Amino acid sequence: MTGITYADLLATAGHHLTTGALQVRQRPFDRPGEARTALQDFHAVLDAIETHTWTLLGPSRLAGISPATRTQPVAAQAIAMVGGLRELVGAERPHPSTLDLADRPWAQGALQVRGASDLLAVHLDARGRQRSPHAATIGDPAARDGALIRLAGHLDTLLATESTLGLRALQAGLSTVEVTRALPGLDTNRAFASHLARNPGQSGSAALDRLRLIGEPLRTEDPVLLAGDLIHRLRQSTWALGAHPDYSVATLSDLATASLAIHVHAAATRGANLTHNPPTVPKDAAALLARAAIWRDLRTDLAEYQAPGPPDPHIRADVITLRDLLPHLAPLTGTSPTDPRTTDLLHAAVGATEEIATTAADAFRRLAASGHVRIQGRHLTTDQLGTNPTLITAHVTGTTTPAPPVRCRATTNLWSAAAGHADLRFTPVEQTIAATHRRTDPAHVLTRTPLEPSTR
Amino acid sequence: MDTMLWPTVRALDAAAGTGWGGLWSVMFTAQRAVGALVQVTSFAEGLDLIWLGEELRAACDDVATRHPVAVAEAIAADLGPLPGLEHCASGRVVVAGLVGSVICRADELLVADPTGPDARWLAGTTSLLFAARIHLSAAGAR
Repeated sequence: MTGITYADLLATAGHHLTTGALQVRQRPFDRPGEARTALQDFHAVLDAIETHTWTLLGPSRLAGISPATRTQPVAAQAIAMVGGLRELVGAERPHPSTLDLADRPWAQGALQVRGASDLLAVHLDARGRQRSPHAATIGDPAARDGALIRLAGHLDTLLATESTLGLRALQAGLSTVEVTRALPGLDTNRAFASHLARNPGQSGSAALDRLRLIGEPLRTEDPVLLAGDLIHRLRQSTWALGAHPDYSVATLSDLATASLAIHVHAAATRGANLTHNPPTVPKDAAALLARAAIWRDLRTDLAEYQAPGPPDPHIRADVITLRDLLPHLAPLTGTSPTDPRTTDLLHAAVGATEEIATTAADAFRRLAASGHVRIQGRHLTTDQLGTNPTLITAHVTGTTTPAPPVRCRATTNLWSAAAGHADLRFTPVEQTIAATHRRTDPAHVLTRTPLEPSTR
Repeated sequence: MDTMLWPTVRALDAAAGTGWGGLWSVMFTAQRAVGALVQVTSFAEGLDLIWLGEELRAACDDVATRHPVAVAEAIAADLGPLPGLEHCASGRVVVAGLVGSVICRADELLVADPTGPDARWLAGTTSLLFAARIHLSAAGAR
Protein backbone atom coordinates (compact mmCIF):
# COMPACT_ATOMS: atom_id res chain seq x y z
CA MET A 1 0.00 0.00 0.00
CA THR A 2 1.49 3.33 -0.96
CA GLY A 3 0.62 6.97 -0.64
CA ILE A 4 -0.27 6.52 3.02
CA THR A 5 0.33 9.69 4.98
CA TYR A 6 0.90 10.31 8.66
CA ALA A 7 -2.60 11.74 8.95
CA ASP A 8 -4.07 8.63 7.30
CA LEU A 9 -2.40 6.36 9.84
CA LEU A 10 -3.55 8.32 12.87
CA ALA A 11 -7.07 8.74 11.49
CA THR A 12 -7.34 5.00 10.84
CA ALA A 13 -5.94 4.29 14.29
CA GLY A 14 -8.59 6.55 15.82
CA HIS A 15 -11.31 4.71 13.94
CA HIS A 16 -10.05 1.33 15.16
CA LEU A 17 -9.77 2.55 18.75
CA THR A 18 -13.33 3.83 18.74
CA THR A 19 -14.61 0.60 17.20
CA GLY A 20 -12.76 -1.45 19.81
CA ALA A 21 -14.12 0.67 22.64
CA LEU A 22 -17.67 0.25 21.34
CA GLN A 23 -17.28 -3.51 21.14
CA VAL A 24 -16.12 -3.70 24.76
CA ARG A 25 -19.07 -1.61 25.90
CA GLN A 26 -21.72 -3.38 23.86
CA ARG A 27 -20.84 -7.04 24.17
CA PRO A 28 -19.51 -9.22 27.02
CA PHE A 29 -16.67 -11.66 26.44
CA ASP A 30 -17.75 -15.27 25.84
CA ARG A 31 -14.59 -16.87 27.19
CA PRO A 32 -11.71 -15.91 29.50
CA GLY A 33 -9.36 -16.21 26.53
CA GLU A 34 -11.21 -13.45 24.73
CA ALA A 35 -10.86 -11.19 27.74
CA ARG A 36 -7.12 -11.89 27.96
CA THR A 37 -6.76 -11.06 24.28
CA ALA A 38 -8.60 -7.79 24.80
CA LEU A 39 -6.28 -6.92 27.69
CA GLN A 40 -3.30 -7.76 25.51
CA ASP A 41 -4.62 -5.48 22.74
CA PHE A 42 -5.28 -2.75 25.29
CA HIS A 43 -1.63 -2.95 26.30
CA ALA A 44 -0.57 -3.02 22.67
CA VAL A 45 -2.24 0.34 22.08
CA LEU A 46 -0.74 1.79 25.25
CA ASP A 47 2.68 0.63 24.15
CA ALA A 48 2.24 2.06 20.67
CA ILE A 49 1.03 5.43 21.96
CA GLU A 50 3.83 5.62 24.51
CA THR A 51 6.41 4.84 21.84
CA HIS A 52 4.90 7.32 19.42
CA THR A 53 4.85 10.06 22.04
CA TRP A 54 8.56 9.64 22.56
CA THR A 55 9.18 9.44 18.84
CA LEU A 56 7.54 12.84 18.54
CA LEU A 57 9.30 14.32 21.53
CA GLY A 58 12.71 12.84 20.93
CA PRO A 59 14.57 11.48 23.92
CA SER A 60 16.85 14.49 23.96
CA ARG A 61 13.95 16.71 24.85
CA LEU A 62 13.37 15.01 28.19
CA ALA A 63 15.89 17.18 29.96
CA GLY A 64 14.27 20.20 31.48
CA ILE A 65 10.69 19.23 30.71
CA SER A 66 8.37 18.36 33.58
CA PRO A 67 4.60 18.55 33.97
CA ALA A 68 5.10 21.94 35.60
CA THR A 69 7.09 23.32 32.69
CA ARG A 70 5.43 26.36 31.27
CA THR A 71 7.63 26.91 28.26
CA GLN A 72 6.55 23.69 26.55
CA PRO A 73 3.21 22.85 28.21
CA VAL A 74 2.05 20.43 25.51
CA ALA A 75 5.25 18.41 25.61
CA ALA A 76 5.17 18.39 29.40
CA GLN A 77 1.58 17.14 29.53
CA ALA A 78 2.33 14.55 26.86
CA ILE A 79 5.16 13.19 28.99
CA ALA A 80 2.81 13.07 31.95
CA MET A 81 0.07 11.30 30.00
CA VAL A 82 2.36 8.39 29.14
CA GLY A 83 4.11 8.35 32.53
CA GLY A 84 4.39 4.84 33.92
CA LEU A 85 2.95 3.13 30.85
CA ARG A 86 6.27 1.51 29.93
CA GLU A 87 6.45 -0.10 33.40
CA LEU A 88 2.91 -1.42 32.94
CA VAL A 89 3.16 -2.83 29.44
CA GLY A 90 6.79 -3.93 29.65
CA ALA A 91 9.90 -2.71 27.92
CA GLU A 92 10.49 -5.92 26.02
CA ARG A 93 11.44 -5.32 22.38
CA PRO A 94 9.92 -6.32 20.11
CA HIS A 95 6.88 -5.88 22.27
CA PRO A 96 4.91 -9.18 22.37
CA SER A 97 1.85 -7.42 20.97
CA THR A 98 3.69 -6.64 17.74
CA LEU A 99 3.90 -10.36 16.98
CA ASP A 100 0.10 -10.71 16.84
CA LEU A 101 -1.35 -8.97 13.79
CA ALA A 102 -4.88 -10.35 14.08
CA ASP A 103 -7.76 -8.35 12.66
CA ARG A 104 -9.05 -6.99 15.95
CA PRO A 105 -9.80 -3.27 16.24
CA TRP A 106 -7.35 -2.43 19.02
CA ALA A 107 -4.62 -4.65 17.58
CA GLN A 108 -5.08 -2.87 14.26
CA GLY A 109 -5.18 0.51 15.98
CA ALA A 110 -1.87 -0.25 17.68
CA LEU A 111 -0.46 -1.36 14.36
CA GLN A 112 -1.42 1.96 12.76
CA VAL A 113 0.12 4.00 15.57
CA ARG A 114 3.32 1.95 15.37
CA GLY A 115 3.27 2.53 11.63
CA ALA A 116 3.09 6.27 12.31
CA SER A 117 6.16 5.96 14.57
CA ASP A 118 8.02 4.11 11.84
CA LEU A 119 6.92 6.68 9.30
CA LEU A 120 8.53 9.45 11.34
CA ALA A 121 11.60 7.34 12.07
CA VAL A 122 12.51 6.77 8.42
CA HIS A 123 12.96 10.49 7.90
CA LEU A 124 15.91 10.58 10.28
CA ASP A 125 18.97 8.37 10.32
CA ALA A 126 20.51 6.68 13.34
CA ARG A 127 22.45 9.85 14.19
CA GLY A 128 19.40 12.06 13.92
CA ARG A 129 20.40 13.53 10.58
CA GLN A 130 17.65 14.34 8.13
CA ARG A 131 16.98 11.84 5.36
CA SER A 132 14.30 13.77 3.51
CA PRO A 133 13.20 17.33 2.85
CA HIS A 134 10.26 16.72 5.17
CA ALA A 135 12.32 15.76 8.19
CA ALA A 136 12.46 19.36 9.39
CA THR A 137 8.68 19.21 9.85
CA ILE A 138 9.06 16.54 12.50
CA GLY A 139 11.21 18.84 14.60
CA ASP A 140 8.83 21.77 14.22
CA PRO A 141 7.41 22.46 17.72
CA ALA A 142 3.98 23.53 16.43
CA ALA A 143 3.65 20.40 14.28
CA ARG A 144 4.83 18.23 17.15
CA ASP A 145 2.36 19.80 19.58
CA GLY A 146 -0.49 19.30 17.13
CA ALA A 147 0.41 15.64 16.73
CA LEU A 148 0.71 15.15 20.49
CA ILE A 149 -2.73 16.63 21.03
CA ARG A 150 -4.23 14.29 18.46
CA LEU A 151 -2.44 11.37 20.10
CA ALA A 152 -3.78 12.46 23.48
CA GLY A 153 -7.27 12.18 22.02
CA HIS A 154 -6.58 8.58 21.05
CA LEU A 155 -5.22 7.78 24.50
CA ASP A 156 -8.24 9.42 26.11
CA THR A 157 -10.58 7.29 23.97
CA LEU A 158 -8.75 4.14 25.01
CA LEU A 159 -8.43 4.92 28.71
CA ALA A 160 -12.12 5.85 28.88
CA THR A 161 -12.86 2.14 28.47
CA GLU A 162 -10.49 0.97 31.21
CA SER A 163 -13.14 0.42 33.88
CA THR A 164 -15.59 -1.19 31.45
CA LEU A 165 -12.90 -3.48 30.17
CA GLY A 166 -12.01 -4.46 33.75
CA LEU A 167 -15.65 -5.30 34.52
CA ARG A 168 -16.04 -7.31 31.31
CA ALA A 169 -12.85 -9.23 32.11
CA LEU A 170 -14.14 -10.05 35.61
CA GLN A 171 -17.48 -11.13 34.07
CA ALA A 172 -15.59 -13.47 31.79
CA GLY A 173 -14.01 -15.20 34.76
CA LEU A 174 -10.60 -13.65 35.07
CA SER A 175 -9.28 -13.25 38.59
CA THR A 176 -9.24 -9.88 40.30
CA VAL A 177 -5.46 -10.13 40.64
CA GLU A 178 -5.02 -10.69 36.94
CA VAL A 179 -7.37 -7.85 35.99
CA THR A 180 -5.88 -5.42 38.47
CA ARG A 181 -2.39 -6.25 37.30
CA ALA A 182 -3.37 -5.46 33.71
CA LEU A 183 -5.55 -2.47 34.55
CA PRO A 184 -4.12 -0.80 37.63
CA GLY A 185 -6.21 2.37 37.23
CA LEU A 186 -4.73 4.80 34.79
CA ASP A 187 -6.84 7.77 35.88
CA THR A 188 -3.88 10.09 36.18
CA ASN A 189 -2.76 9.31 32.66
CA ARG A 190 -6.28 9.82 31.42
CA ALA A 191 -6.60 13.13 33.22
CA PHE A 192 -3.53 14.48 31.42
CA ALA A 193 -4.59 12.96 28.10
CA SER A 194 -8.10 14.30 28.42
CA HIS A 195 -6.86 17.77 29.33
CA LEU A 196 -4.35 17.78 26.50
CA ALA A 197 -6.89 16.53 23.97
CA ARG A 198 -9.08 19.51 24.75
CA ASN A 199 -6.23 21.95 24.32
CA PRO A 200 -7.61 24.82 22.29
CA GLY A 201 -5.56 26.76 19.82
CA GLN A 202 -3.43 23.86 18.61
CA SER A 203 -4.23 21.95 15.49
CA GLY A 204 -2.38 19.39 13.45
CA SER A 205 0.30 20.59 11.06
CA ALA A 206 -0.65 20.18 7.42
CA ALA A 207 2.99 19.53 6.53
CA LEU A 208 3.28 16.76 9.11
CA ASP A 209 -0.06 15.32 8.08
CA ARG A 210 1.17 14.98 4.50
CA LEU A 211 4.32 13.14 5.55
CA ARG A 212 4.83 9.90 3.62
CA LEU A 213 7.37 7.14 3.49
CA ILE A 214 10.60 7.55 1.56
CA GLY A 215 11.11 5.46 -1.57
CA GLU A 216 7.58 4.18 -1.99
CA PRO A 217 6.75 2.43 -5.25
CA LEU A 218 4.86 4.55 -7.75
CA ARG A 219 1.08 4.20 -8.00
CA THR A 220 1.00 3.47 -11.69
CA GLU A 221 -2.67 2.53 -11.75
CA ASP A 222 -3.83 6.15 -11.61
CA PRO A 223 -2.17 8.85 -13.77
CA VAL A 224 -2.90 11.69 -11.35
CA LEU A 225 -1.50 9.75 -8.39
CA LEU A 226 1.44 8.66 -10.54
CA ALA A 227 2.23 12.28 -11.41
CA GLY A 228 1.97 13.19 -7.73
CA ASP A 229 4.30 10.36 -6.78
CA LEU A 230 6.81 11.38 -9.44
CA ILE A 231 6.85 14.97 -8.21
CA HIS A 232 7.18 13.72 -4.64
CA ARG A 233 10.12 11.55 -5.68
CA LEU A 234 11.78 14.36 -7.61
CA ARG A 235 11.55 16.52 -4.52
CA GLN A 236 13.20 13.77 -2.49
CA SER A 237 15.87 13.17 -5.15
CA THR A 238 16.69 16.87 -5.31
CA TRP A 239 17.02 17.02 -1.58
CA ALA A 240 19.35 14.01 -1.65
CA LEU A 241 21.69 15.93 -3.97
CA GLY A 242 22.66 17.94 -0.91
CA ALA A 243 24.09 14.90 0.82
CA HIS A 244 25.29 13.09 -2.31
CA PRO A 245 26.23 15.60 -5.01
CA ASP A 246 26.67 13.96 -8.41
CA TYR A 247 28.71 16.76 -10.04
CA SER A 248 26.24 16.93 -12.87
CA VAL A 249 24.78 20.07 -14.37
CA ALA A 250 22.65 17.83 -16.57
CA THR A 251 20.77 16.62 -13.49
CA LEU A 252 20.05 20.20 -12.47
CA SER A 253 18.93 20.90 -16.02
CA ASP A 254 16.54 17.94 -15.85
CA LEU A 255 15.05 19.33 -12.67
CA ALA A 256 14.62 22.70 -14.34
CA THR A 257 12.90 20.96 -17.25
CA ALA A 258 10.49 19.21 -14.90
CA SER A 259 9.73 22.49 -13.15
CA LEU A 260 9.19 24.22 -16.48
CA ALA A 261 6.75 21.51 -17.54
CA ILE A 262 4.88 21.73 -14.24
CA HIS A 263 4.46 25.50 -14.53
CA VAL A 264 3.41 25.34 -18.16
CA HIS A 265 0.82 22.64 -17.54
CA ALA A 266 -0.39 24.40 -14.39
CA ALA A 267 -0.98 27.49 -16.51
CA ALA A 268 -2.84 25.35 -19.02
CA THR A 269 -5.20 24.15 -16.29
CA ARG A 270 -6.13 27.81 -15.83
CA GLY A 271 -7.05 28.19 -19.46
CA ALA A 272 -3.76 29.28 -21.06
CA ASN A 273 -3.35 28.09 -24.64
CA LEU A 274 0.38 27.52 -25.08
CA THR A 275 0.49 25.88 -28.47
CA HIS A 276 1.39 29.11 -30.19
CA ASN A 277 3.58 32.07 -29.46
CA PRO A 278 2.57 34.49 -28.05
CA PRO A 279 0.26 32.34 -25.96
CA THR A 280 -3.30 33.12 -24.94
CA VAL A 281 -3.01 33.79 -21.25
CA PRO A 282 -5.89 34.41 -18.85
CA LYS A 283 -5.10 36.82 -16.05
CA ASP A 284 -4.70 34.23 -13.30
CA ALA A 285 -2.26 32.16 -15.38
CA ALA A 286 0.07 35.08 -16.11
CA ALA A 287 2.14 34.66 -12.96
CA LEU A 288 2.63 30.97 -13.67
CA LEU A 289 3.82 31.66 -17.20
CA ALA A 290 6.17 34.38 -15.98
CA ARG A 291 7.73 31.82 -13.65
CA ALA A 292 7.78 29.26 -16.47
CA ALA A 293 9.78 31.74 -18.55
CA ILE A 294 12.31 31.99 -15.73
CA TRP A 295 12.66 28.20 -15.66
CA ARG A 296 13.14 28.25 -19.42
CA ASP A 297 15.83 30.92 -19.11
CA LEU A 298 17.47 28.84 -16.42
CA ARG A 299 17.55 25.77 -18.66
CA THR A 300 19.12 27.77 -21.45
CA ASP A 301 21.62 29.22 -19.01
CA LEU A 302 22.58 25.80 -17.62
CA ALA A 303 23.14 24.49 -21.15
CA GLU A 304 26.29 26.60 -21.34
CA TYR A 305 27.99 24.71 -18.54
CA GLN A 306 29.91 21.47 -18.70
CA ALA A 307 30.43 19.23 -15.70
CA PRO A 308 31.95 15.75 -15.38
CA GLY A 309 28.93 13.99 -13.91
CA PRO A 310 26.39 12.30 -16.18
CA PRO A 311 22.72 13.00 -15.50
CA ASP A 312 21.23 11.06 -12.61
CA PRO A 313 19.41 8.23 -14.44
CA HIS A 314 16.63 7.99 -11.86
CA ILE A 315 15.86 11.70 -11.97
CA ARG A 316 15.96 11.70 -15.75
CA ALA A 317 13.63 8.71 -15.95
CA ASP A 318 11.18 10.39 -13.59
CA VAL A 319 11.31 13.65 -15.54
CA ILE A 320 10.68 11.85 -18.82
CA THR A 321 7.76 9.92 -17.35
CA LEU A 322 6.33 13.16 -16.00
CA ARG A 323 6.80 14.81 -19.39
CA ASP A 324 4.83 12.02 -21.06
CA LEU A 325 2.12 12.11 -18.41
CA LEU A 326 1.35 15.81 -18.05
CA PRO A 327 0.05 16.47 -21.60
CA HIS A 328 -2.65 13.85 -21.01
CA LEU A 329 -3.65 15.35 -17.67
CA ALA A 330 -3.50 19.02 -18.62
CA PRO A 331 -3.37 19.62 -22.40
CA LEU A 332 -1.46 22.74 -23.41
CA THR A 333 -4.38 23.84 -25.53
CA GLY A 334 -5.91 25.24 -22.37
CA THR A 335 -8.89 22.90 -22.29
CA SER A 336 -10.04 21.99 -18.81
CA PRO A 337 -8.45 18.84 -17.37
CA THR A 338 -10.71 15.82 -17.59
CA ASP A 339 -9.71 14.85 -14.06
CA PRO A 340 -10.49 17.67 -11.61
CA ARG A 341 -7.73 16.49 -9.25
CA THR A 342 -5.16 17.63 -11.82
CA THR A 343 -5.58 21.31 -10.97
CA ASP A 344 -4.90 20.69 -7.28
CA LEU A 345 -2.01 18.39 -8.10
CA LEU A 346 -0.28 20.95 -10.29
CA HIS A 347 -0.99 23.75 -7.83
CA ALA A 348 0.80 21.75 -5.13
CA ALA A 349 3.53 20.80 -7.59
CA VAL A 350 4.28 24.46 -8.26
CA GLY A 351 4.98 24.83 -4.55
CA ALA A 352 7.27 21.82 -4.72
CA THR A 353 9.25 23.39 -7.57
CA GLU A 354 10.07 26.36 -5.36
CA GLU A 355 11.61 23.96 -2.90
CA ILE A 356 13.40 22.16 -5.73
CA ALA A 357 14.81 25.49 -6.89
CA THR A 358 16.13 26.32 -3.45
CA THR A 359 17.75 22.93 -2.98
CA ALA A 360 19.12 22.74 -6.52
CA ALA A 361 20.56 26.25 -6.18
CA ASP A 362 22.56 25.02 -3.19
CA ALA A 363 23.72 22.02 -5.22
CA PHE A 364 24.80 24.31 -8.05
CA ARG A 365 26.62 26.64 -5.66
CA ARG A 366 28.51 23.71 -4.20
CA LEU A 367 29.26 22.35 -7.65
CA ALA A 368 30.55 25.72 -8.81
CA ALA A 369 32.72 26.08 -5.72
CA SER A 370 34.25 22.67 -6.39
CA GLY A 371 35.72 23.96 -9.66
CA HIS A 372 34.21 21.08 -11.62
CA VAL A 373 31.92 23.35 -13.62
CA ARG A 374 33.45 24.52 -16.86
CA ILE A 375 32.22 26.80 -19.57
CA GLN A 376 33.17 27.57 -23.13
CA GLY A 377 35.24 30.76 -23.07
CA ARG A 378 33.14 32.15 -25.90
CA HIS A 379 30.04 32.07 -23.72
CA LEU A 380 31.50 34.67 -21.39
CA THR A 381 30.48 38.26 -21.88
CA THR A 382 32.90 41.16 -21.67
CA ASP A 383 31.76 41.96 -18.15
CA GLN A 384 32.29 38.36 -17.08
CA LEU A 385 35.74 38.25 -18.68
CA GLY A 386 36.96 41.33 -16.86
CA THR A 387 40.73 41.57 -17.06
CA ASN A 388 41.38 37.93 -16.23
CA PRO A 389 44.00 36.74 -18.77
CA THR A 390 42.98 33.07 -18.48
CA LEU A 391 39.37 33.86 -19.28
CA ILE A 392 40.30 36.19 -22.12
CA THR A 393 42.56 33.50 -23.62
CA ALA A 394 39.75 30.95 -23.34
CA HIS A 395 37.37 33.43 -24.94
CA VAL A 396 39.68 34.03 -27.88
CA THR A 397 40.76 30.43 -28.44
CA GLY A 398 37.35 28.93 -27.74
CA THR A 399 38.58 26.52 -25.09
CA THR A 400 36.78 25.69 -21.88
CA THR A 401 37.63 27.24 -18.56
CA PRO A 402 36.35 26.83 -15.00
CA ALA A 403 33.22 28.95 -14.77
CA PRO A 404 34.15 32.25 -13.10
CA PRO A 405 32.20 33.23 -9.97
CA VAL A 406 30.54 36.17 -11.67
CA ARG A 407 29.07 33.84 -14.31
CA CYS A 408 27.90 31.35 -11.69
CA ARG A 409 26.32 34.17 -9.73
CA ALA A 410 24.07 34.98 -12.69
CA THR A 411 22.87 31.36 -12.67
CA THR A 412 22.40 31.36 -8.91
CA ASN A 413 20.22 34.42 -9.24
CA LEU A 414 18.11 32.67 -11.83
CA TRP A 415 17.65 29.81 -9.37
CA SER A 416 16.57 32.38 -6.79
CA ALA A 417 14.11 33.89 -9.23
CA ALA A 418 12.74 30.41 -9.96
CA ALA A 419 12.35 29.82 -6.23
CA GLY A 420 10.34 33.00 -5.97
CA HIS A 421 12.82 35.01 -3.93
CA ALA A 422 14.82 36.73 -6.61
CA ASP A 423 17.47 39.26 -5.88
CA LEU A 424 16.00 42.19 -7.74
CA ARG A 425 19.43 43.36 -8.80
CA PHE A 426 19.64 40.28 -10.99
CA THR A 427 16.28 39.81 -12.57
CA PRO A 428 15.74 37.70 -15.68
CA VAL A 429 15.72 40.99 -17.52
CA GLU A 430 19.42 41.18 -16.85
CA GLN A 431 19.77 37.74 -18.36
CA THR A 432 17.97 38.95 -21.44
CA ILE A 433 20.30 41.90 -21.64
CA ALA A 434 23.26 39.57 -21.25
CA ALA A 435 21.92 37.38 -24.04
CA THR A 436 21.53 40.42 -26.26
CA HIS A 437 25.08 41.39 -25.45
CA ARG A 438 26.27 37.96 -26.50
CA ARG A 439 24.33 38.18 -29.72
CA THR A 440 26.35 41.18 -30.84
CA ASP A 441 29.64 39.72 -29.67
CA PRO A 442 31.47 38.83 -32.91
CA ALA A 443 33.58 36.11 -31.28
CA HIS A 444 30.42 34.31 -30.34
CA VAL A 445 28.89 33.97 -33.74
CA LEU A 446 30.40 32.27 -36.71
CA THR A 447 30.59 35.30 -38.93
CA ARG A 448 34.26 35.47 -39.73
CA THR A 449 33.71 33.38 -42.81
CA PRO A 450 31.15 34.86 -45.18
CA LEU A 451 28.13 32.63 -45.05
CA GLU A 452 25.15 32.66 -47.28
CA PRO A 453 21.80 33.40 -45.62
CA SER A 454 19.53 30.50 -44.90
CA THR A 455 17.14 29.59 -47.63
CA ARG A 456 13.49 29.46 -46.77
CA MET B 1 18.65 46.42 -32.95
CA ASP B 2 20.25 44.59 -35.85
CA THR B 3 19.19 41.01 -36.22
CA MET B 4 21.17 38.29 -37.85
CA LEU B 5 19.71 35.45 -39.85
CA TRP B 6 21.09 32.02 -39.22
CA PRO B 7 23.41 30.77 -41.95
CA THR B 8 22.56 27.71 -44.02
CA VAL B 9 23.36 24.22 -42.90
CA ARG B 10 25.65 23.75 -45.90
CA ALA B 11 27.80 26.68 -44.85
CA LEU B 12 27.92 25.57 -41.24
CA ASP B 13 28.73 22.03 -42.25
CA ALA B 14 31.58 23.17 -44.47
CA ALA B 15 33.00 25.46 -41.79
CA ALA B 16 32.96 22.78 -39.11
CA GLY B 17 35.91 20.77 -40.40
CA THR B 18 36.28 17.02 -40.44
CA GLY B 19 36.73 14.10 -38.06
CA TRP B 20 35.79 14.10 -34.41
CA GLY B 21 36.37 17.83 -34.08
CA GLY B 22 33.96 18.44 -36.94
CA LEU B 23 31.36 16.13 -35.43
CA TRP B 24 31.60 17.92 -32.11
CA SER B 25 31.45 21.28 -33.80
CA VAL B 26 28.22 20.53 -35.66
CA MET B 27 26.68 18.94 -32.59
CA PHE B 28 27.62 21.96 -30.50
CA THR B 29 26.10 24.34 -33.01
CA ALA B 30 22.98 22.20 -33.24
CA GLN B 31 22.65 22.06 -29.49
CA ARG B 32 22.94 25.83 -29.16
CA ALA B 33 20.53 26.34 -32.05
CA VAL B 34 17.96 24.11 -30.36
CA GLY B 35 18.40 26.15 -27.19
CA ALA B 36 17.79 29.36 -29.14
CA LEU B 37 14.75 27.83 -30.81
CA VAL B 38 13.31 26.81 -27.43
CA GLN B 39 13.54 30.42 -26.31
CA VAL B 40 11.31 31.77 -29.08
CA THR B 41 8.90 28.97 -29.88
CA SER B 42 5.71 28.31 -27.99
CA PHE B 43 5.99 26.56 -24.65
CA ALA B 44 4.41 23.46 -26.17
CA GLU B 45 7.04 23.26 -28.91
CA GLY B 46 9.80 24.19 -26.49
CA LEU B 47 9.00 21.25 -24.23
CA ASP B 48 9.42 18.93 -27.21
CA LEU B 49 12.62 20.53 -28.40
CA ILE B 50 14.26 20.47 -24.98
CA TRP B 51 14.77 16.73 -25.28
CA LEU B 52 16.48 17.01 -28.62
CA GLY B 53 18.82 19.55 -27.02
CA GLU B 54 19.46 17.18 -24.13
CA GLU B 55 20.50 14.36 -26.46
CA LEU B 56 22.81 16.67 -28.36
CA ARG B 57 24.29 18.01 -25.19
CA ALA B 58 24.99 14.51 -23.86
CA ALA B 59 26.57 13.55 -27.18
CA CYS B 60 28.75 16.68 -27.13
CA ASP B 61 29.97 15.88 -23.63
CA ASP B 62 30.73 12.30 -24.66
CA VAL B 63 32.79 13.38 -27.66
CA ALA B 64 34.65 15.92 -25.53
CA THR B 65 35.50 13.15 -23.08
CA ARG B 66 36.56 10.67 -25.76
CA HIS B 67 38.51 13.03 -28.00
CA PRO B 68 39.55 16.03 -25.91
CA VAL B 69 42.36 17.13 -28.23
CA ALA B 70 40.19 17.22 -31.33
CA VAL B 71 37.43 19.05 -29.47
CA ALA B 72 39.87 21.61 -28.05
CA GLU B 73 40.76 22.58 -31.61
CA ALA B 74 37.22 22.43 -32.96
CA ILE B 75 35.16 25.47 -33.86
CA ALA B 76 32.53 26.27 -31.27
CA ALA B 77 30.00 28.17 -33.31
CA ASP B 78 26.92 29.57 -31.63
CA LEU B 79 24.39 30.99 -34.03
CA GLY B 80 22.95 33.26 -31.37
CA PRO B 81 19.29 33.91 -30.75
CA LEU B 82 16.73 33.81 -33.51
CA PRO B 83 15.82 37.29 -34.66
CA GLY B 84 12.11 36.84 -34.10
CA LEU B 85 9.09 34.61 -33.96
CA GLU B 86 8.67 34.71 -37.72
CA HIS B 87 11.98 32.88 -38.10
CA CYS B 88 10.96 29.83 -36.09
CA ALA B 89 10.20 27.73 -39.16
CA SER B 90 13.51 28.52 -40.84
CA GLY B 91 15.31 27.94 -37.55
CA ARG B 92 13.69 24.54 -37.36
CA VAL B 93 14.96 23.77 -40.85
CA VAL B 94 18.50 24.72 -39.83
CA VAL B 95 18.31 22.54 -36.73
CA ALA B 96 16.94 19.61 -38.73
CA GLY B 97 19.76 20.00 -41.21
CA LEU B 98 22.37 20.17 -38.47
CA VAL B 99 21.03 17.04 -36.78
CA GLY B 100 21.04 15.30 -40.15
CA SER B 101 24.63 16.39 -40.64
CA VAL B 102 25.56 15.04 -37.21
CA ILE B 103 24.03 11.66 -38.08
CA CYS B 104 25.86 11.55 -41.44
CA ARG B 105 29.17 12.48 -39.85
CA ALA B 106 28.71 9.86 -37.14
CA ASP B 107 27.96 7.26 -39.82
CA GLU B 108 31.10 8.25 -41.75
CA LEU B 109 33.23 7.88 -38.64
CA LEU B 110 31.66 4.51 -37.99
CA VAL B 111 32.33 3.32 -41.53
CA ALA B 112 35.92 4.54 -41.28
CA ASP B 113 36.57 2.41 -38.22
CA PRO B 114 33.73 -0.08 -37.71
CA THR B 115 35.55 -2.13 -35.08
CA GLY B 116 37.23 0.69 -33.19
CA PRO B 117 36.64 1.63 -29.56
CA ASP B 118 34.11 4.30 -30.57
CA ALA B 119 32.03 2.10 -32.86
CA ARG B 120 29.49 1.12 -30.27
CA TRP B 121 29.12 4.67 -29.03
CA LEU B 122 28.68 6.02 -32.55
CA ALA B 123 26.01 3.46 -33.35
CA GLY B 124 24.18 4.22 -30.11
CA THR B 125 24.38 7.98 -30.56
CA THR B 126 23.11 7.79 -34.11
CA SER B 127 20.09 5.80 -32.93
CA LEU B 128 19.44 8.25 -30.11
CA LEU B 129 19.60 11.22 -32.47
CA PHE B 130 17.26 9.53 -34.91
CA ALA B 131 14.82 9.13 -32.05
CA ALA B 132 15.42 12.63 -30.73
CA ARG B 133 14.75 14.12 -34.15
CA ILE B 134 11.15 13.03 -33.64
CA HIS B 135 10.83 15.82 -31.10
CA LEU B 136 11.72 18.28 -33.84
CA SER B 137 9.16 16.77 -36.16
CA ALA B 138 6.58 16.84 -33.38
CA ALA B 139 7.32 20.50 -32.73
CA GLY B 140 7.03 21.32 -36.41
CA ALA B 141 3.75 19.47 -36.71
CA ARG B 142 1.98 21.75 -34.26
